[in-house]
Amino acid sequence: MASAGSGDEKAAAAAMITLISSDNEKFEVTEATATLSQTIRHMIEDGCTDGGVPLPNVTSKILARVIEYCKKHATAAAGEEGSSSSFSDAAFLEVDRAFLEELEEFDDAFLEVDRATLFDLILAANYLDIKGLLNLTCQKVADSVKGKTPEQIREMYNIVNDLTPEEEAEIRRETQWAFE
Amino acid sequence: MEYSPIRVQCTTRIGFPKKTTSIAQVGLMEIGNSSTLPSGFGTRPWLIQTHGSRKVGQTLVDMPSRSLHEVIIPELQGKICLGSVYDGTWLMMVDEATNDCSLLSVASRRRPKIPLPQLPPTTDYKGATCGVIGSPSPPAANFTVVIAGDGESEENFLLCCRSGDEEWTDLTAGDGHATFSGTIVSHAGKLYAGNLIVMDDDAAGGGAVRSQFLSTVGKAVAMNGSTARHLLVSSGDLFSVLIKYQGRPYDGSLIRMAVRRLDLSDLVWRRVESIGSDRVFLLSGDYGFSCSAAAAGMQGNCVYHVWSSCDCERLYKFCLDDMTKSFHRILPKPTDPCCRAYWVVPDDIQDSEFVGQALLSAPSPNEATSPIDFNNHPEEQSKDISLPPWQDLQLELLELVASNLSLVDRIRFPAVCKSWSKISNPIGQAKVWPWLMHISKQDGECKMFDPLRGERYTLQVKRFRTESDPHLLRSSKDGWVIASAALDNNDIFVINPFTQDIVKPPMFEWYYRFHGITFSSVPSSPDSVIFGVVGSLDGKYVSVETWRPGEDMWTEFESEHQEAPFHVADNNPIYFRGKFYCLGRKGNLAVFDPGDNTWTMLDKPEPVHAELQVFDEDHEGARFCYLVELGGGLISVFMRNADEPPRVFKLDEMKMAWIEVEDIGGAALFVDYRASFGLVSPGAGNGNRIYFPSYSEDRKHAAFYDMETKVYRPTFYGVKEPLNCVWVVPNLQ
Repeated sequence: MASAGSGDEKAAAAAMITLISSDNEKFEVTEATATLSQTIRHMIEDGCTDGGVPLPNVTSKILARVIEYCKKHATAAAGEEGSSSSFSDAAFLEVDRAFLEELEEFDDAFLEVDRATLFDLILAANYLDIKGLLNLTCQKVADSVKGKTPEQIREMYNIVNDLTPEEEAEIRRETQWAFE
Repeated sequence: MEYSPIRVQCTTRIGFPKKTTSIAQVGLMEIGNSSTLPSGFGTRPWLIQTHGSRKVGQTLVDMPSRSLHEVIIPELQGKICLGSVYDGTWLMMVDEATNDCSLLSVASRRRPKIPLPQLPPTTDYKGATCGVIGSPSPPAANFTVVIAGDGESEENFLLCCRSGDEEWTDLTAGDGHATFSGTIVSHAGKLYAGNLIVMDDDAAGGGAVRSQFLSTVGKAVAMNGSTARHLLVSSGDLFSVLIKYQGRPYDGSLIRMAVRRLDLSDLVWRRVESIGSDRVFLLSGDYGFSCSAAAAGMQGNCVYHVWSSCDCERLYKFCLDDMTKSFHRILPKPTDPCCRAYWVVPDDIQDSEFVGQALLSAPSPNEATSPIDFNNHPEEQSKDISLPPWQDLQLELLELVASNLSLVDRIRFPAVCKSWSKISNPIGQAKVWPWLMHISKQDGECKMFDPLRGERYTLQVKRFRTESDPHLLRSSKDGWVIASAALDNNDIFVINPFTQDIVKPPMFEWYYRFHGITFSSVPSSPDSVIFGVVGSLDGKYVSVETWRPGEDMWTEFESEHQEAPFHVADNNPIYFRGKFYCLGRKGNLAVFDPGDNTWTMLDKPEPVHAELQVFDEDHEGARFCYLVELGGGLISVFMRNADEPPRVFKLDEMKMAWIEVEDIGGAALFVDYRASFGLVSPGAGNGNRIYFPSYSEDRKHAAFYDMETKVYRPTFYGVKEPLNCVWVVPNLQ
């Protein structure tokens, strides 16, 4: 598939794949959408997708969100490819920028989720090996701890401090200034 | 005593940001008494600026609103002010045409005037200073006035007159007279001047005026280079205020300030950290005095100084509490050095029942903008109902999260819990950007201000602990800061304040004198070269000094530019493609190649301001320029004032030409004369900004120019700039 020409791409785009969540819900998606996941891409390449792809680690709630993400990003990717041949350079850049802006807006809205969902999305993105989604969700976590003290982070993420006072002192030893 | 009517012309307020303020003609009114002067005049300190070659009209500047009032006070017409004596309650005025002179208490209710003998017509009294001992208050006025010429001029004079005298006595006629120059202050029946001469009027002992030099101990002048010095008396003590300026002598940028107190018992000048929370020092021209902060309606523990800039007359405020400076526009045009506005204080100010409303220097309404939360955080989400085990997130995922963290977040991350503490991401790879480092005390406390987040951190750096003045921050690069000892100005070191690693180059033979200094690579590496450059004012001589690890002295290279001068500007050179690039005041470049130790003035790029008269008298030349490296290219920034936006140029290396740009592609620039940096990706919302080494009065928001909306945020005037600071990009490696 990796070396497929554009004709095959179109055929592939039309092909449908069935994804089955841990609670046994079935989702029909195009192959272009599904193959944003490297895990599924490899399964397709290995020819073991007949009868659906069981994803025992992903609930239907999360899988629905993941598919939403993949659909948007697959369309964007296809749109970008399509545009390159039919627009002048300037127009292409304009369209390109519009796509990127639209994608950014989509991503921002997509991340408006509670922390439990965010956690599950990270696990799903990791399991399904969707690089874009994994980076996006991890960045979201990084953003959420911005400017927070360890105490505030623990409270926010409901984490119990299991460091001994000695361990904590060691961590802070050379950079105490950053904790004040 | 004579009393004269005052004509009040009209009232106006400085417009913002327009440079020219039109003065509405309200019509002249003949007013018979001073009660119709602007309200508030005579209740607190005001500034008076006479204008025009004939000095017909005056502008009164009210504090703290800085509102302007145009008036005509006949007693001030055609006169120059030699000094504001008796704590600003009396002015020594000399008529430029007739040399008539008098003492005038203009802010007092009855405006008393004491005529003095006509001054000898042989000399120009512009720039002269004066001091008075005794009491001018009627009926028993008994005082001695001394007028001194500029000690450096050839036409030196020292004139004296007592109340009741018919003419002035020339004290230079006798033997053994001392040369008076600079501020003259009166303290406990004696006059003090210069560095340091005392004079008293021994009326009881036959009426001889005696003077003598005093040998004081302790460095009263702790600054090399261009320094203005004021003596003044406050709370019964003698103080000296030193202000260092950069570049031009009358409208250069004021960059440092130090206050010393003279202990008269042992004649030692000692550094003071506070002048008192209820005191302000008011300086202008050659004199200064102390005033009650509450009565003045001004912020206590601050030194106020009237000074010109390229575009306007400014009132600088040096705040000793946090060692910051800020300035406001007080007059729409800069003045001549000898004609600065003079402070006038009512004689009953200490007893007045001035109610201290709006005491602190609030920005005037026309330039105030509501503070904007530049780091607007989205609303925190409500607490999750189900609680996922975040501490159990796989290490590689935690590391992925951590790879997106900026420095402080990265440092704090492992302190959350045991599993989070296992991440292996190097701290050195965390995202960093320039922070404003500043030192205000000698206790080793080193403050860091993050301009993008508005956060502050405090580091303890042992090397900055000192018994004398705090070390001066000179430049920075790669997280290393070049600093020099303030008193022993030949002592220099390079330090990484985060790791406290130090590299110690040899002392200078003379003192730290560079316009710009930087280095090629981290100074702890053996192939590093430290490079300092200094040029003569006329641009004809340039001197470069270099030091490499292992060398036991600095090596000096001198060059001459007799035909085409190169005016070394006050900004940091940039080490770029193996050479040190220096931006001249006009915008041309010169390059020092450390490989063969050659200094070359480049023909191209052509200067941005080719015609600029760098040391002209009309203030045009007082521009600031900065050289910045951004994304592998060179950028130059030229600034003048609030009314002209900074101009940004990119060096087109193919054509070797400066190309003006309106947009820097979402990057941010951090400019300062000590060190400037470019940041390609400053993060959402911070792009196309030029950050300055200053922040809002509440210390929360960095000051910057927004290239998209073309405005200064939060304002151009009134932002606080730490006096001893430098941009530094944290480096914890």
